[in-house]
Amino acid sequence: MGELIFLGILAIIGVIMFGMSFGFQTSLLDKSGGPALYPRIVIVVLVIFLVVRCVMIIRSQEELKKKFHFLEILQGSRLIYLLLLLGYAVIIKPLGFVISSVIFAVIAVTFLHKKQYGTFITGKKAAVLYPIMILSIVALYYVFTNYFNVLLPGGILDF
Amino acid sequence: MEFLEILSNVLNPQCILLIIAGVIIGNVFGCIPGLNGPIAVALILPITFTLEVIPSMALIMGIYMGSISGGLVSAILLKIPGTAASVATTFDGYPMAQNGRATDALSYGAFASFFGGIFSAIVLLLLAPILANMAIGFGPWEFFGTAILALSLVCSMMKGRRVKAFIAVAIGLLLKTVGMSPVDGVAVRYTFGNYMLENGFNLIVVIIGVFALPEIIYNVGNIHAKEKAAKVDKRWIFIPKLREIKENLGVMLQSSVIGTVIGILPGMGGGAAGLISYEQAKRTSKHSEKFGTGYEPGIFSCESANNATSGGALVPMLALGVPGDTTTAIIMGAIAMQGITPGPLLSIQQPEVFKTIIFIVFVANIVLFLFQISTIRFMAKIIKIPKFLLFPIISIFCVIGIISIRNSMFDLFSVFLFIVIGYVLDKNGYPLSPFILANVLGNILEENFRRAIIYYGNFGSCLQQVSIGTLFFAMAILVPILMILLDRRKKNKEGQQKA
Amino acid sequence: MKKNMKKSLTILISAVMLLYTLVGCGTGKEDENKEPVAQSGQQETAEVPAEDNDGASESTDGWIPEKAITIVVPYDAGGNTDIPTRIFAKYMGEYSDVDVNITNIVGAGGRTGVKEVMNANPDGYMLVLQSSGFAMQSALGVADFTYEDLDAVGYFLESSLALVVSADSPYETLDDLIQAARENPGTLKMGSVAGTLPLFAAMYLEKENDVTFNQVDLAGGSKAPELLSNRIDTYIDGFGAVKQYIDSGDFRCLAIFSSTPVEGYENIPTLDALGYENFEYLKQNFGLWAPKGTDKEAIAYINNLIKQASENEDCNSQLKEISYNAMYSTSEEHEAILETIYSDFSEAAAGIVQ
Repeated sequence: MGELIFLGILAIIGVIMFGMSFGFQTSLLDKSGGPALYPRIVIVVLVIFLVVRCVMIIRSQEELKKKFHFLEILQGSRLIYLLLLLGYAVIIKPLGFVISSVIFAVIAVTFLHKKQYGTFITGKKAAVLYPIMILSIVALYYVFTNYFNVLLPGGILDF
Repeated sequence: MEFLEILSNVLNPQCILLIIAGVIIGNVFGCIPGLNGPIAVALILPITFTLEVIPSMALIMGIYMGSISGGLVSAILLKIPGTAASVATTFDGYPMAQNGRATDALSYGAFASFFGGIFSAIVLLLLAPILANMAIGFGPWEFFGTAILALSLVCSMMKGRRVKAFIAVAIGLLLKTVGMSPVDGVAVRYTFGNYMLENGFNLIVVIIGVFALPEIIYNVGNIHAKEKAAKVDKRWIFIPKLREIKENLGVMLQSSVIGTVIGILPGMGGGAAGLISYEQAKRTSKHSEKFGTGYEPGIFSCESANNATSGGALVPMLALGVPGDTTTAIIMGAIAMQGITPGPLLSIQQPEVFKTIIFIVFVANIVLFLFQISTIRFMAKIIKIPKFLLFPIISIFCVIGIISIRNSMFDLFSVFLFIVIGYVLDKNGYPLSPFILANVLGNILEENFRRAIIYYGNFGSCLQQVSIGTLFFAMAILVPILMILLDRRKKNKEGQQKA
Repeated sequence: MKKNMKKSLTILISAVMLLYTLVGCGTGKEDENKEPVAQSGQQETAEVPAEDNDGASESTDGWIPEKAITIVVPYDAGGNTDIPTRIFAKYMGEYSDVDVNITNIVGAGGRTGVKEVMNANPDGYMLVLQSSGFAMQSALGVADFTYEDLDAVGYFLESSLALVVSADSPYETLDDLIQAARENPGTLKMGSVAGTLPLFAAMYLEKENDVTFNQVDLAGGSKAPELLSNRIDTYIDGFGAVKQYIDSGDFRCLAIFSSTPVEGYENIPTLDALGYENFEYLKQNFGLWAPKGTDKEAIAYINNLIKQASENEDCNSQLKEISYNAMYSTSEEHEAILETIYSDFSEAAAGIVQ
């Protein structure tokens, strides 16, 4: 059932994109069929196969009962990790690469360690692990910005 | 006489050192998703200005060879293809590493890379002018035919889920239409006024979003205290056994031919070569069901094919002055900066430069092989890092990779769209390789489709051309239909026999 | 467990160290290699002070850079635009205490790079290459910025377009070609790339002679193969890009879009010699733009670097090899030329966009 909904959403997106294709600017010089022709062909092909797939699902009891995999990434620890990543993406520009990565790494490592072993990282291990993580991130930033010409966001600690 | 001169040009300490440095730099750049060959060569470009012609070529060819092959390490160990070229390597390399055979997988990859690289270098040496003429013969209609045939073949090979494969292709092609319309140059499609989208979704963002991150997020749910202890042999050098090489010789030869041919065609590149030769190896194998579970030929096919594109891509560049891929385009620039123009005159007026470059390709492949087999021991230890550390590290590298493409925060947010797409497709049995191939070939397909229409007036008259393009197009339509019919008949027969 | 941890830590450290050592040898090499440049630079600077006194010197007093200046090339690294710019930037760097670096920010016909610089801090350290492509895109309504949204710094490169046919083509002169286009309207295949200067050059020829070509769109890299294989009849491109095929005898050049012939190729007629007029806007000239509101003195400093580099003999000869010429203009001249180019293009583009 879930797959039918997925296919339906795809079909709706296809139809919307088909409609949008009427609004494209065209060039008088262009004799290639215009910018809208190709996306329309692709959408038509997509919809044909969507219909074929739908028929296949409806005709088979087995397929109808199959679980559709999607919601589980929005549950439990997976959702937490996804949100962590999203938060990382949000803060990386204003706070800069170093600070945001440290925040992300500390939270993610602590969380995953708890999940993996059931305990927090404590004592000597924490005293070694966290500083090394921070140092590595600073080193990464230094190497990438200075030697690989990658403009990682400097943020509030612009150095 | 001439040969000795070339030897002494290349086999001196300076050149060898530069080749080694290039191979290492290229390997590192190839490993990290987002950083890739073109970026490495572009970064090194200013340094080459200060070198002589041959040393600068040594450095650049080292990087080129290294970067193509570097992707296999992260593909096998982490399921992150560093570039599109190593996407297919993840299919069997990652399961094999998970089964405790990481060092084997890496050594297969290294050997296959070596094989493909040397194979295409020999082709380059012997056939460059002839093959270049073949490349000229490819116009828009022929490119269109080739691209659509590649897509159709990959889908047809997905036995049991062909319809899903075609849906995945169509989604990929549709996503690729976002941005500036090619050919007419005025229409901006599906960007919703966001100029960051004018260039479409970057392939690296798609690959990271579809392959690397969903895998991590999925595994976060299954993280356990008891991990399978990965065994890493304490050898210094890892070479596949002679028996394994013998068994896979056919696969490597076939994939190297595919890779070289695809490399010659400008714009197709290693991504297409790896995926097509993987599916081809799977189709021709007697044990096609073993593919995807950590089966050796899977690694041998993809890695020999993507390295074979390097020699192929150099063919049109050296013989015609037309680069075969992004990296060779920059390399061509670097050669031009030295006052040498790659093109029809090069092999006539300066044959020694032409031959020296090819010889450097040979040496670089050998150095690359030695470097890879001797670092496997250290590389393989990556998988011994416990998951709670490994996942955040990979995530941070993915973020760096995305930012390094063009310093865009928009790309960073759009990756979440691809996480969802990649997760939904993969976990529900929609194959990812057609989706990625559609992303690799989408632009080529549309551009050449529309150019062919301009050339011949309309699609109908394109079909009347006596050309390999028409043949390929017909095959692209007929092959999937035939395959479905054949499978049906087989099923019916089996059914009858049972009854 | 603990052992496992320790091992993973050593791996982490060794990975970082690998990166460090890598970077270490990288920089070592860079330093080594930089020496010869610096030396040749010093030789050159010996004659520079004399020229400095000509009047440009007062402009350098006010603003002195403290870190490397970055020129964004909004096109592919190693391309026809990127290479001459890199050569020129190298010589600009020789006249400054800081490096002049090139960064490629590619995308959307070069607009991504321009927008990046438009939004950058107008401190004089971030510049972008200006090509006539942006005037075209603005005329076509694709680019939503004009020359007024950035500060002109000065022109530094010039090159001409050339029209080529295959060597075995029946067209010996431009007139032959135009004649053929007149007899068979809309069938002669003229290769061009949408939204680039050659397209406008083709339109210019159509308009001046009242003929129509079959304008065929070509991918950036595939222009030469299309003509080599005779799938198209002719195409227009920068002279530097077609020179090697003219030398090899594969192509014949019928006209150069310039009023002065190219050195060493005096037998190729210029459009001027063929009696054409008003084609100045079809020159392939490149300049530099700075973000709007950049310090006037910073602009003057960089303009002065352009002036000095454009007078450097090595720079000129290296550029000539790839058929480019160094040029120099003041930032005011640059601004004024841009104004005419923008209006010329919007005139030429009228009627293309529906």
